[in-house]
Amino acid sequence: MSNQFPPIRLFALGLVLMASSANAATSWNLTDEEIAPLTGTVVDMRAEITGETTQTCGAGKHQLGIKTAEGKLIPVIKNAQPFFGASVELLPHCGKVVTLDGLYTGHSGYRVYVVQAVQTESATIKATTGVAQWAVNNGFDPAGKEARTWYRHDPRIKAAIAKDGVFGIGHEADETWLKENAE
Amino acid sequence: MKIPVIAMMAAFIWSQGALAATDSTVTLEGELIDSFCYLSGVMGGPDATLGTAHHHCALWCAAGGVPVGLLTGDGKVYLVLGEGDDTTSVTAPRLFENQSHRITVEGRAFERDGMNYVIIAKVLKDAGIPNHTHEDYGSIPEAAAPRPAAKP
Repeated sequence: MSNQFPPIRLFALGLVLMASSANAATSWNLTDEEIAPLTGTVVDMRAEITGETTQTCGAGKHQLGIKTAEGKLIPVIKNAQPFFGASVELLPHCGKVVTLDGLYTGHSGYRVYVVQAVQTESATIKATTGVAQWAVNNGFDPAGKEARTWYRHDPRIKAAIAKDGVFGIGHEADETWLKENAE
Repeated sequence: MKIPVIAMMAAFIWSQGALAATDSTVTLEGELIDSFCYLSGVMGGPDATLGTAHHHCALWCAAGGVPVGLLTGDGKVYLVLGEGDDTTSVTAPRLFENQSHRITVEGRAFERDGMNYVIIAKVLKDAGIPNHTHEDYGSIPEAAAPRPAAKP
């Protein structure tokens, strides 16, 4: 009986699995994108730059980031869902060391991070919890159609559009644009 | 023995200086922007993510907790970490309401690891949205464009 997995093949398979588990992020084709894991402590950005003390990372009200072992502060500004930030994904890990799967992007010297998953000692958690929390907070089914297009059902957004229009300068501008772009 | 001690102290001070944020009180004028769309190119070039063309999407992102940025005339981007007596920077009410507005603010600016941050103490002036980019770009993204009113 032939050996289908001689040591060299097992070694190669191991390398592939190691590479895929070390970096599970996928490309979004962003500006100057670099897919790379990010390891460090979850910190409250405001407290970190001002020296304020915090135990709670702002309890969901502050922007969060990662402080690396070298002391570098990286803003984590986006989760893996449409139009959603990342603080909601990092908050449960406040003060803990985690590894993020995701990517760097930016231009003009600015580098920010997009998180797609959070690796802890015991689990890898997809960075897709924000919309479900939004649904619960706003009385919708987390698995429902409103949650899938949460940004069209958010009461604050609807109120802002009702007040100033889509372009933010009054409904007349919206109506003019619609007339000019009617098919 | 003094020289190694002094050298260690100098190294410590140097390392702290390298890590600490630089803090200054400033007056800044600029546009409140959606930091992700502006910096990532996800919607195309940076100019398309400014002003009226991107206002609706900027509201979506601000409501979702993406940091609001302040883009000043010299091209600097400051991530906003609070405004006035409200320390909220995730879906902060006043930052949300002023999205895409050109504002003049007084506050504390910080620079750390190549990024700029501002904690706004006071909004001195709000000029609304003078940047009418929808005239050139339409709506960015297209899905955020005005929709005809539903027929009764």
